[in-house]
Amino acid sequence: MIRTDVLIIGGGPAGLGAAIETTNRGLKTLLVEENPIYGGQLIKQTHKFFGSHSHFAGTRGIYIQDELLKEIKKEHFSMLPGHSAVGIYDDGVIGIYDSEKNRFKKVSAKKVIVATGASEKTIPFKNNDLPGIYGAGGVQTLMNVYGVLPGKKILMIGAGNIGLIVSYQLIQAGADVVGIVEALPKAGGYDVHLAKIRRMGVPVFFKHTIVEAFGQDSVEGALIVQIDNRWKHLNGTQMQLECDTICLAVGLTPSSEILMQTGIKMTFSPSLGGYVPVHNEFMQTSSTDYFVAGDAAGIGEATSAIIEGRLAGISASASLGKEKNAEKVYKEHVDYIEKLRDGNTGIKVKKGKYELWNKPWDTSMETFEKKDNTIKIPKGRTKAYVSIECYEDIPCNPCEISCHFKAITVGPNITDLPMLDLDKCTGCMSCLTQCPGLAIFGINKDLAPGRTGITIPYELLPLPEKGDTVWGADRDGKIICSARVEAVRKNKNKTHLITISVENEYAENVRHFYPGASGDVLICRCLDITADEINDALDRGYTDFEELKRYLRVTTGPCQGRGCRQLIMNMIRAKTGEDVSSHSTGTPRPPESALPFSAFTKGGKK
Amino acid sequence: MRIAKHPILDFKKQKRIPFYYNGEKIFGMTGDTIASALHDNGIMVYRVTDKSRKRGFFCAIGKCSSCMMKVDGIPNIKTCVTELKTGMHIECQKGKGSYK
Amino acid sequence: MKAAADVGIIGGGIIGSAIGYYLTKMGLKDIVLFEKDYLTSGCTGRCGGGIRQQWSTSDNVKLAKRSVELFEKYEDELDFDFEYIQQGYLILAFTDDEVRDFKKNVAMQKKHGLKVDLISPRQAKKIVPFLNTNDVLAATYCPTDGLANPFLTTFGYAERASEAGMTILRKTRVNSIERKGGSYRIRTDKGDCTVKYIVNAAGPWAQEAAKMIGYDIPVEPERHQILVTEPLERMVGPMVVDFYNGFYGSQEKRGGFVMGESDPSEPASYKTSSHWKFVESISKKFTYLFPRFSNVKILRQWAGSYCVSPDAQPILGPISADDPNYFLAVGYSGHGFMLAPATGEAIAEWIVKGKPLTTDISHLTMERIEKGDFSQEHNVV
Repeated sequence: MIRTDVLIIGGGPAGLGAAIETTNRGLKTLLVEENPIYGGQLIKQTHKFFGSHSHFAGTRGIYIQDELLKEIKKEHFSMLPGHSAVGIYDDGVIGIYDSEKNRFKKVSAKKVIVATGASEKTIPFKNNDLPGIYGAGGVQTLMNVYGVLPGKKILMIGAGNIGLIVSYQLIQAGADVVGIVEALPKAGGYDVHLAKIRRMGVPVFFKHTIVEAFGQDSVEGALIVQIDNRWKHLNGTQMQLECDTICLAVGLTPSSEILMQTGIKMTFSPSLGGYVPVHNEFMQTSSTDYFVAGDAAGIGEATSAIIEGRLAGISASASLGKEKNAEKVYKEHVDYIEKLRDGNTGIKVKKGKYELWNKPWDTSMETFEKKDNTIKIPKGRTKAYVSIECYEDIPCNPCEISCHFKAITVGPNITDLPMLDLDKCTGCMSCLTQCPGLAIFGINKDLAPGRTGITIPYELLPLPEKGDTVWGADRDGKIICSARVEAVRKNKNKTHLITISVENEYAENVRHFYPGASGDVLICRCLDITADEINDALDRGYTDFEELKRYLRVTTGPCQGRGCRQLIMNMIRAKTGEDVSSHSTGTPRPPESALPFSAFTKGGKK
Repeated sequence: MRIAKHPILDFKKQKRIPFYYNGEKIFGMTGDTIASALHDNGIMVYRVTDKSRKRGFFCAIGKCSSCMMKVDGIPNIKTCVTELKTGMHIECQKGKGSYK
Repeated sequence: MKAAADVGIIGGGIIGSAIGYYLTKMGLKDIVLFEKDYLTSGCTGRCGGGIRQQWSTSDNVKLAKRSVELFEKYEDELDFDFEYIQQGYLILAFTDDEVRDFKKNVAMQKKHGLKVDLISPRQAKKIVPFLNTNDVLAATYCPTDGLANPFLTTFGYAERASEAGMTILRKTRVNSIERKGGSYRIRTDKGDCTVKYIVNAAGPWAQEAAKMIGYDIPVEPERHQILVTEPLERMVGPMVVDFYNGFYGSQEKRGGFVMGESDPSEPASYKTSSHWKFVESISKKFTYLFPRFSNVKILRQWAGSYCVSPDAQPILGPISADDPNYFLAVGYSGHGFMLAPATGEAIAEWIVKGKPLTTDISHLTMERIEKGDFSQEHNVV
């Protein structure tokens, strides 16, 4: 029997948040996590988080679990990855399973914090079990944890935040998102997430649903249809889309089955995503022995999961006499979580929680007064400035913090819109790299006569190079003009800044660009060798032409290097910066053009 | 398909490890689950149900039954949460699975 | 340049790289490899890639067999697709003398545990259906023989060895070597480096590197010509060898037929130019053996040097008792690629552990040459 003060089930943001509070109060804490890697869903979140700057806003999810672990007091903490909680028995003993050793173990804990997260919902349609149809979480795991792309052409079902974010991540990983299907007339997710993928040209089919998937062994396509307000299919609007993957992002439901075994009170809350354990503001369930936090207590987002975890940790500590000032300590967290749940997206969760807590609810709380943050640009303004295209009440303020010149104000209420003071803005563009929504652009009308510089926060590969000619695209991803790359500023946080210039008349509309040519650049046509393959070989150190030739066989095809020798030498020069004019470029060999053996055997005899 | 380059993530270079799929030797990487390695090899059908429905990878977190396969003679292994090991024999599972 | 190192290897071909790789694998990391041009720039970069165990001398059989054991593991071990194909060597006999010799060889090879058989022309035809067996009297076949890409194998060794700490100096020519106490100072066009051990893996230039400390070793370069055809779907599994006409040919993993011949009239020289006589002559041999392929197109022909020793077996180990730390790995006589794994391992063991442990190479030192006590390897194309 393993004995501990506190057992935390689940090593995601909520579980780690709880461990910070219990371990720092000297409570012996054991955390079990069924996956071999801790962090829960954080390990797949490559995007920057919203929220307050003081709570990881602007930090990519993938780094947050390690930040949380740093705050946990190690001498009171032990973590068992690869262990799942399988039962809470009538004597309070918790059974855990060590999947690596195939062993059942027993835990006796004074308090249990359940932070088991959520599971994905699915929707019914024909052949929805065909290989190639995945949950959005599955897709994220596959590509962001294992580095394997789920497919090449993806159809996304659902335009909530997860559907929008995963679509963006798929494009970052090199897939093509053929469309997003959303039953509602507008995106459930944030506008800035929608804007990000729209400007990359991904079509969004609002008021549509998927009817069937088809394919022999795995997905080859999908049939979608338009629906009316009562979800009735409108005949004649059916459309076949070619795709090899269908990704379902149709919502999450709390996963707290283990707690149900204890007989604590559960309730059904549509606003919280399904059945949730009844819990108070400080995350205690109907039993003083069990606490719940994160998605298991109602679907929310990761930042509030961390805060809920901390609250649960404080509660559990208080119930063991390790926190005398609980009320005071709660306040900071409760206030922050309230703020996070303001705004159109979070308010649903807030309402669900208020119902649970029997707190009075006023429908006026559901509408937000939005400040108008559009600004007029004086005609003569030539100095660079930023265009903040954030018109939604997102709880978020990294832009304000990032501005060294105090030109951006959000204020204490972090769902308020950012306001720009044009006089203070120097056009330094720091805020572009920090905005998690990639919703701030730099404008420089003085870049060159007749041309405006547009600086775009960019997280795709390949990065263009200064001087490249690219295509300027508008907010819907439509190409509207040609553009030139003027500057590439790389950033440590991997949101790089690309400044392109366009003719002035397009400046208002260009917010994205496409590389000048898409597809593979073939260098050696005989043997089908691409520029990427050659660059990879050069990166690997094969910068001597003769070695490169033997590594990839370039120039040894039927054309004997006529087509590619010079190109390859240029690539070597570009890579090494060396003068390659004196280098060996291989020896063309006889025969000059490929000849059959029979040409050499005429008249001969063996 | 392995993601070769990613704008945000750095995938560490892993070692190739051999394993067998229906008797054929193929390769995965250290750190792979069985399912991710099969997926990388373009193998989409992990089992065929009694009703002849083909099933593949789905939830990636061991919560559904879609990816269960026969692993080293043992049927119904959740391949999305089972670490790939050198020399494993993975078989596409037919029906409920057996120990034959 | 590093002023000092434990080992200096002269030559960045398959042999130098293999020795470097095994040294690092055995824990010796302070190694400098000197390559006057680029890796594989000597005979390795011109090599046909055959891997054969069917030899007429016991020593060559032992080395080749151990090499195959190692090749079989390389895809994982070197983490490199070096285009290894293990579909055998088929060696054809056209005369009664050959049949008699082959019987003797097979018996000897079997004694060493090699899976090899004397087979009938009909059986040979079964293995290579496109082969003209009309005049074939018998053949020997060893299924574990095979092919691989020598360039990629060299790069695989070099990548792993440099990861482990070996320094590779390309475009660095060794001009002279001085004895300095118990060490050697290697003088190059890019600077000097003092080493405890030298490995001469200079291939056709082995003799020059030996002369630098005053030895005349009996090896000389000899041109061998070779060609490759357009890549086609693989249709021929094994390497086909015909000693009678002096022909070898195989279809590499990427699909091109690679073939070469021996020309007894070829004089010793560093020449690596191509001659039309070669393509005429080999076209006849190839289309005679494979009439169906007479319209396959030749893509490129080139030539490389064998480093030929008196008995067509490698010369391994210290150059003399006076210079016990100057090692030779030379004189492979056209078989360096296929013997590289085992000899690389043996030389590395000799340096690191004081003597070769895995494979007995005691008959392959300079001593046999000096005493004239050696048996000639006959199975050479």
